[in-house]
Amino acid sequence: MNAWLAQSIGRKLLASFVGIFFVTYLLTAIFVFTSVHSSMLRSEGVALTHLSNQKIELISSYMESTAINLHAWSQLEVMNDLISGDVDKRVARTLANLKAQYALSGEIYAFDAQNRLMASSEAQAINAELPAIWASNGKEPVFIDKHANPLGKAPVVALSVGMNASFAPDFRIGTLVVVLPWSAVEKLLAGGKQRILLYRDESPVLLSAGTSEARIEAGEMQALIGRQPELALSSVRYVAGYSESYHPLLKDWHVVALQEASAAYQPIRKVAFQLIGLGLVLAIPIVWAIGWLSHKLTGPVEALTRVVSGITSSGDLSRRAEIEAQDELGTLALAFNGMAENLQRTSQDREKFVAELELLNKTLEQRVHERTQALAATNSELTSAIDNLKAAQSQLVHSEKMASLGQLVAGVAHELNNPIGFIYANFPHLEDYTNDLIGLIEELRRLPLDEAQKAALEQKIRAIDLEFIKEDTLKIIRSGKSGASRIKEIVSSLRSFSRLDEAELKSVILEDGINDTLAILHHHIKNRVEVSKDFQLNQPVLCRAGQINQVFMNIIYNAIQAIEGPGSVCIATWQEGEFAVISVEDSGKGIPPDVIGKIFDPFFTTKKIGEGTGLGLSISYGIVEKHGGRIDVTSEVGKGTKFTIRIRMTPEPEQVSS
Amino acid sequence: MRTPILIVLALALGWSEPGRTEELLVIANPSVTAASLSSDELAAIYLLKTTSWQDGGSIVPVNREAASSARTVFSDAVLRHPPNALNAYWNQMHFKGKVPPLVQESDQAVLAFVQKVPGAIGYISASVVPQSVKVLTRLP
Repeated sequence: MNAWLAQSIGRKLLASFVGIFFVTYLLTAIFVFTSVHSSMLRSEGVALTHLSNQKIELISSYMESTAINLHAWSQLEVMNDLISGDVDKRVARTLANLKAQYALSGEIYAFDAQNRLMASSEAQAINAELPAIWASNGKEPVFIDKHANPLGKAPVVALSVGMNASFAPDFRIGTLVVVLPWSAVEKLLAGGKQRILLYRDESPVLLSAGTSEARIEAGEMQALIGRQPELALSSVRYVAGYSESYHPLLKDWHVVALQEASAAYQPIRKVAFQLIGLGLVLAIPIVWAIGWLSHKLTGPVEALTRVVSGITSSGDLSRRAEIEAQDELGTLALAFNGMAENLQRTSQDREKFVAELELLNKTLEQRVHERTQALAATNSELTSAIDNLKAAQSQLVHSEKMASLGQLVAGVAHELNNPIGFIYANFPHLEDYTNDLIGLIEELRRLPLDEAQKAALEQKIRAIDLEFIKEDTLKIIRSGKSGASRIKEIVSSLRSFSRLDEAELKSVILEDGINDTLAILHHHIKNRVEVSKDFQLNQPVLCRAGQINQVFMNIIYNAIQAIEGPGSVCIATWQEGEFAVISVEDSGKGIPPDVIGKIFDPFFTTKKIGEGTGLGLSISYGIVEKHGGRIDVTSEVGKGTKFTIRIRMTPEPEQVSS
Repeated sequence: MRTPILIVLALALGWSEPGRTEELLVIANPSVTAASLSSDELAAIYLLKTTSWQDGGSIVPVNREAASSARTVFSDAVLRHPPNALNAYWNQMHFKGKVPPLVQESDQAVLAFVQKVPGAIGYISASVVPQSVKVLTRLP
């Protein structure tokens, strides 16, 4: 139940209102019922009292009127006849007439002053004395209570009055008695549904038990005398109403009207059922009205709750409660809507801020990342710059060394050029002269000389082995000539190789450069590497010959160095459109694929420290690029490497300018 | 009402015509000390002008019923008024608090009454023996 209640304010309202209604109605009903109960009991009691009063009044008035009548009758003049012994029977006639006239159920007896019965309303005359119980001296009638009729059998009540002569108030003429049968009294009591009891409370006697003939117990009699509003007679419960008035004539006579409790409570039960019925009939519209009211009251609250829980569960702050009325709930809904709007705005602001923060965070990360990258890049740039600087430094050193070396070589070559020139130039003359000398000697020998001389000469000739000298001198001249020629060639190579002619664009035959290079590298080639040439270009190319020769030098030297032991280098030239193509293919160890991408990087070298600077190919690449060409390399490990150099036949203008 | 009364009176007079000659004895209770009464004294008693005897005892006059011849005789002889006038007079007296003469319907009754009641006075037919009473006078 409590759980059922706890689920909804509407139920609580309904339960409390219904409870209030039921409690209120119950209390009201109890109050009404008790009021009605007591009022009905009271009214029942009042009605019964009224009835009993009525009955006692009836009896009393009957008795009173009878007494008055009796008194009046006693005053009749005719009663004076009692004095004369009613000789004319006037009294007897009168009494008979009175009985008939008043329709008396009893009899009237007139006794004379000597208490002899003088006359009666009875038909036949009776000779009797005045019974002591009827004796009355007063002029007012006296009531003689229920007693057995002295002149008859049935129980009677009697009224007795003393009679005086009309002419002389002091002259007693007798006693007039009216006797009423008890049945007449009971007849007066009878009537109605109620049971009427007549009792006397001094020396308590039940005079008439009403309709029932049941005996009355002493205790019950006590209850009667005690005037108990409710009592039980013969185990039947009664509601009692007691007569209240005092009647001087009847003295302690009392009438009680009894209503059976079950009959008395019948209308009360009916009222109870009506109250229950009314409660049920009222409950339906009231419960319905309470239900409607609670729905009306809690409807907006529930709607609000739905909106609130909807907002709570979904987080959708854009929901709004419907404002149905301008009452407190409407105000609440309005306030809630305002709050929700504020919340929404705040939430939106928050979300915006969060988003901004997140964005900021992300961008921060990104920026940190970028910065880090930038830093790393800068770092690597710096590192590479340092490396470059170092490289540049070493290159500078190298360049300077090379430049110095070049100048030295150029100087040496220049200085050697002239001596070598005239040495080389003199050899043909020397050969001519030697040949002339040898011819001369031969002629001398063939001259007719004495034998002695001839023999001495011959001797001499034999001593110096002229033949050998003749042969050997020619050989020496030839070899000298060859040597000079080679020196001349080397010097020429050195000149052309050195940068003496660097800055100038020259039309050169590339094959000459290759040959020069091969000549310079002759020491490395001879007896080990077989160099095959396939020169098909044989056209002058406009280029910076010194730089191109340096390229040839680097690549061919690398090719030779790549060959361990005997091998071959194949150099070919040809033309491809406006490009002159030189390919250098060796049968060396090849370049591993992971290294092949780096070979043009500056300072990348596979040689031992001191053997190479790692600049050769890098510089070569730069030179070839300057000439509007490129260097391609294909290599297979273990089989060899092929460098293909392409340069323009004539450089492009901008390249020329640079 | 008057006509039947006249008729009754006429009838009564007619019937009592023979009785005019009858005599009445005025009797009194023996306790009455008066020896005799005159007609005027008697009329004064019956017209309630004298209510007590000389000795102080009250007078109780007894009349006969209106229809009786004795009363007619008595009224004519003593009271000298017509019965109607007398009735009216007595009614008037009754209202004034004076008890009109009692009525007894027979000589025996009158006799018995007068015998029993002290101070009583009445009249009976002379033919009746006035036993135990005092005869005051004889009429007419």
